[in-house]
Amino acid sequence: MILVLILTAILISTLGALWIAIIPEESKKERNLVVTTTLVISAAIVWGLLVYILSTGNYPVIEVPLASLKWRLLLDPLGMTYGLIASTLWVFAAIYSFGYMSKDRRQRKFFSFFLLSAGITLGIAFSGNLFTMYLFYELLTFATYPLVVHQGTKEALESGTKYIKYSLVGASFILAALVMLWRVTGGTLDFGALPTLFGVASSGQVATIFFLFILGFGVKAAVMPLHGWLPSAMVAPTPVSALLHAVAVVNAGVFGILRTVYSVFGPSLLLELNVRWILLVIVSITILMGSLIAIKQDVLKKRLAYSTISQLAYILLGAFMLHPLGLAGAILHMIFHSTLKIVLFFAAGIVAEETSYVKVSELGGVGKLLPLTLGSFGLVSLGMIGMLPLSGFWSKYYLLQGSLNTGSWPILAILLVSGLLNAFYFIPITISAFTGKAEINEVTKGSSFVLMLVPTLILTVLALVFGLLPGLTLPLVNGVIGQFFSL
Amino acid sequence: MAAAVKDNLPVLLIVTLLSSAYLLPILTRVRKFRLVEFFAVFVLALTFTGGVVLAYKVLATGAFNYIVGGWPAPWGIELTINALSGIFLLTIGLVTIPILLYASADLVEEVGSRQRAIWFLTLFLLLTAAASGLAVTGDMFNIFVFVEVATIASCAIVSARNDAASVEATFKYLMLATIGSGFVLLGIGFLYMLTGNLNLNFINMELSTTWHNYPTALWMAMSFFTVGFGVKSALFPLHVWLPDAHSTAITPASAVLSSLAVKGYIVALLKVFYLAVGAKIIFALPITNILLLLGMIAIIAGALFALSQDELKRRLAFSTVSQIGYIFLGIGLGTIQGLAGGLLHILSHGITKALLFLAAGTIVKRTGKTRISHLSGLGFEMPITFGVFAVGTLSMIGIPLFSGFVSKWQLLLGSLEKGNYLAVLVLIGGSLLAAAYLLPVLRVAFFQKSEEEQIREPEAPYVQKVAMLFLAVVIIFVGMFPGIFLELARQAAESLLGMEVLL
Amino acid sequence: MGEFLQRLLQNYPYVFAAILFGIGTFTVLTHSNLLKKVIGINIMEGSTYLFFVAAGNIRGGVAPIQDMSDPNLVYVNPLPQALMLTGIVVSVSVTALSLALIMRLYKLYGTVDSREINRIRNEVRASGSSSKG
Repeated sequence: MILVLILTAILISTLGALWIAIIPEESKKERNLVVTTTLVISAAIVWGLLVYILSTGNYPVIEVPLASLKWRLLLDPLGMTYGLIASTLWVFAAIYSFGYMSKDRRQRKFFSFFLLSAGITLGIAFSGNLFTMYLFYELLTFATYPLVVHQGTKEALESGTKYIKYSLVGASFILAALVMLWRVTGGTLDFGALPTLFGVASSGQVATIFFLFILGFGVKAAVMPLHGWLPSAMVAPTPVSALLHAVAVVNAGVFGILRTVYSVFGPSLLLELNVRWILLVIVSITILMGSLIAIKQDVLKKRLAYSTISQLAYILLGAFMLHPLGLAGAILHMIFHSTLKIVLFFAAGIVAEETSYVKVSELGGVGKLLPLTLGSFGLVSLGMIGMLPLSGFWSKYYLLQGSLNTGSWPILAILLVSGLLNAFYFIPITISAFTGKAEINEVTKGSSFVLMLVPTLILTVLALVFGLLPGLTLPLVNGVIGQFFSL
Repeated sequence: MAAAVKDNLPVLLIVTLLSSAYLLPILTRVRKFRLVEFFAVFVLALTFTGGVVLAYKVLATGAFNYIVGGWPAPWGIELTINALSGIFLLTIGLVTIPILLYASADLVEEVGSRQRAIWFLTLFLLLTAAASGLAVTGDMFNIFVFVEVATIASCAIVSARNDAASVEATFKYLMLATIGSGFVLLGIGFLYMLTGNLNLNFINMELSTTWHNYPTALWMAMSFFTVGFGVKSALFPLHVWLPDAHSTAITPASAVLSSLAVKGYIVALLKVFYLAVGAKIIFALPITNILLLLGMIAIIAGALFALSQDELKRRLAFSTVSQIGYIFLGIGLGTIQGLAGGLLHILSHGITKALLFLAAGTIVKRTGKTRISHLSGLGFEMPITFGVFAVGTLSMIGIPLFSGFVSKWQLLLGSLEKGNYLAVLVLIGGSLLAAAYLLPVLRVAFFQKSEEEQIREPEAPYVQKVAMLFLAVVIIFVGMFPGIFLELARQAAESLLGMEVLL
Repeated sequence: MGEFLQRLLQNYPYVFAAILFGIGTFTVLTHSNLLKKVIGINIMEGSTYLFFVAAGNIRGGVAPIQDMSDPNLVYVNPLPQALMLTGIVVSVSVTALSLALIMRLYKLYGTVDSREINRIRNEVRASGSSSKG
């Protein structure tokens, strides 16, 4: 039963993608129906499975042997977290896309790959060993590439090539690490079993493998200096930027690192290796640099991109603390950052569609024309900074707790400084949008506007709900922590 | 009857192919050319079935010898059927059947006349026969004969269309290949002088006791074989003939040459090295290190040359040079995993490159565009052709789920087994370069907007689509369920290297 | 040194085979005249026959036809000779194929010199592309 459900969740999007690829471009109603249905079904399955594993406490495993390797799917709280974020937000992004892409002439192609990526993302989330994960990780690159270059302009193609280059080089590091790991552990790549299998390996070997993995996954997680592809990939249509570059792809990288740190090596081994400080320093630099560069950006989507780079590093910061509270912060920030950042992208997309303004300096007064959109933007950006009563506060709270508990004062300072920088590049946007004077007086809001606005508003409300009732996420976070730390 | 067929299967394979090859020219008068083509495909299918049976038998009961005509060795000729034969026979079947199916759709139109089409089929079957012969032979001189048959057949098949470029390429190919044959023959002469035998097993027995007396002569023989087979299998830097020959030939010829012909010589080389001379002596003379080095150079250099080509078929031809490097790297590693990876790459590169060449041929034929930069916007006009091209590309890069990954994974394991991190680097670098030279084709075709208004090009004929889809399915099948192929490759590697390597 | 020379002299067929092989290969690779290339190939192949037959030869041996009357006769090894018959057949077919190709090239280009052919082809290509542009 569980097997059928998992496979359905992963494969239904693939089948939907094939269906869409076959039906003609003109039958828009059918296509939208297929997209919505498949995504809702797979999200519902993921929610159902979450309830199941959290209530029963056992984590089902599915294995199919494959010569010397094997396919392995695993449902555990960590994977569930990522699967949950992706599958849920995908539904919202789909509705938003119906509006945003309504004038596009190649929607068939767009939605085919859109659905395909959804299935592959779930594959990553439910992977039970590194090989399966590597497979889906590689496939994700190829499935999302068409979305990045959807515009087909020279700029889009160039940034697509950059994206492919970065991703493939990163994946090569992972492959090298995989092979070495295979040699060291005598042929096991399964999560869970791995941390106990390093007995014979020298610490040098283990460290090499670990850093190869971090380098590999670090590309998609946009850790500086491997972040180059992310800002330039912002040429993609806004729903793609929102979904892939704030939710699925970058979180795939982050999720990969979380898996490496917790499921492959395990916190105690890494503490023994003494690699924590190097990692924390790299990540801290990324946090600060990301924020600093974001301030300089005038194009709104680029500013959001650098903000993403900085915020992803928060997640990694929490993960690298190797402390239960840090991990809690990381998990919460993964959830909250995704839900918040996607709203910011959605809002930026609405503004660009309705007024054709894409630069921060052009936004003066737009708030009066699009009050709900910019209102959401303003509210959510407060969450990004980490203010109550928005969800973003709680993840930062746990990160601070974690840094206090690991005794790392510098990190505390970095978190505070970065919070200030966040405020510095977000708040002025909202203020000028509502106080400035716009050049145009009116915007025509069509039916597509409603389709774009509704998911934005719902997610904003969600951010408020999580901010006021943070306990809702407690079972999940407890599950993840219980998985890796014995409390 | 059935028992007689089963007992004599090894020799029947070759006899069937050879005799049907020579039967074909008589069939010129058959009114329906379809029937002739059908007959050729039928023969291939029949021998493929035989190959599968042999491979299964080897897997189940191990390697065995077949004595031709009841004359036992060393007087008679012996065929040695082992896992290496099995894997190569499987490759031959999986590659030739779809290629010939593909060819049958427009063969007469491609080569000019019915007469020429029939000759093409004859040459095709001869080439297949020679390749099968190399797979099963256990005799030094038989190797030479089959190598020569393969050489002449593959040279002639290049010039099937008889236009200026292909005739020139053929001549270049023929000259270099014949020099290669000269080297091979000299090598055989040396081994014969040293041992007085032509049977591989007997040479092995003789050499294993006496080789200390004449290491120099043996070393020379090994070098002659390396150069001779190196030229024929396009080992960099002896590849100069390959790009011209493989890119000017007609599509099915390019496909069969790239995916099969060059591999036959590698199989011959393996047989001479490991069955005749023996792993112990090969490792004592550091000849594998040279192969390893040449393999690594070939991977990188071939890929770099491929990158600089704008013509689609030439790019694929240079890609073959690079991929041959993978096989030699596997041989050079000299470990079970590494050699198994190299052998598996014979299969996986065979099916992948056949598919890529067929797809490329379809593109060139349907659009008249030979250059990659001119392909913009064609992806959605010919979704099946470019779709299977994408499958081939992903397999060539070595993405999991596709056959290329399985062999590359084995090669990587082999390199680590040997502790050779440079090889790991080269393998991964080669994959990245493969991505760099193949992905642009897809990028241009699918995502670049074309300036000119596209005329909707008709897709390939039904049969050709089926042939290409078949290969794509095989690639994915091998990628998803490599178990049996991997087992065969591992057994082949184990039997070639022998137990002394493990100790 | 003297011993080395003596061994060379004793094995003179092999020395000649090596020299012929060198001459043949050199001719194929350096001559631009296609016919000379084919001649080079034949010289090279001839050298391998010499090599093989010399390897099977025994000084003072007679043709391997069994003669019961004289038990002291030494026969030369017949196997290399038989093999070389096959070799000759192969080389004849290679020569035939290459001559056919040369005829075809002569018809297409009016010359059997590979440099000339290169030149003509490049000219045609250049004019083709210029007329297109």
